Amino acid sequence: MTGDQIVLALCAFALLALVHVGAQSFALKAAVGDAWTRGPRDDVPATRAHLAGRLERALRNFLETAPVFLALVLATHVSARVAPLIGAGAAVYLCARAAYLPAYASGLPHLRTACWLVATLGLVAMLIGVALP
Amino acid sequence: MTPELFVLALALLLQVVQYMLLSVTANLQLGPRYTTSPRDEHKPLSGIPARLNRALQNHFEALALFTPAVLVVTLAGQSGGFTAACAWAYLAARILYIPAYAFGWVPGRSIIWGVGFFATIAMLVSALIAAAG
Repeated sequence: MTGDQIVLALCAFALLALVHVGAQSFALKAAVGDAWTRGPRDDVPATRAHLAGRLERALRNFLETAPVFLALVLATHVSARVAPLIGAGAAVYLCARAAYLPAYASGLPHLRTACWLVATLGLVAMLIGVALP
Repeated sequence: MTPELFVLALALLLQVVQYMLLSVTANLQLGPRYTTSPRDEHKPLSGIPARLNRALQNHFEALALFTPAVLVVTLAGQSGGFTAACAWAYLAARILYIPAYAFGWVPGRSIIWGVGFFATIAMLVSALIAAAG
């Protein structure tokens, strides 16, 4: 990836993180009320089956993959590698993770899993692109 | 090293401090016999340790946004007085967020969270505007 493409990928990633946090936050406020979310949240409300629960789990899953993506982007920058596989992998990861959020929210079986798999393959492509000589 | 990268390093060290706070209080509450076991039996945290755990998890979310924002500012060569001030504001807010959560400041915690969040966004947007101009 070129320098501009790296900045673009990082901005897209930041936007994606913003959407995940925002969606989870607003869904939780809608489910349990604003007053509880502003408090210290000591008693845990049952939101597991709500949209708020799904978006919470989607956010947690996104955060599990985030360090891998950021590490690979950083490795790309430091190594100055420009293999097309890296850029393609990053684009696949970002698009699939963007689809993962509504897929989780929809509750449709397999769709979410497919998005996760595609995004992870994007990370693998990036890893191969960065690691191969 | 840009000031933003310096603050990012400090933010990661803050995460270490948050881990230590959680570790000490959780061990005091549940006992090292349980915490060092494989935790097959579910013993949830409550009170201050549970609040410190939520503060730690929340900082992971904030870092998922702050880290790419710092990388964008640094890689695009747009580090300046304003972006550095935003980074420091983020760090100050994330430090204050810990007592705000632990002592249940309402609505102080939400306001402090907002300061860190909007400082991150302001840093990112100002770098984008400067890069476009």
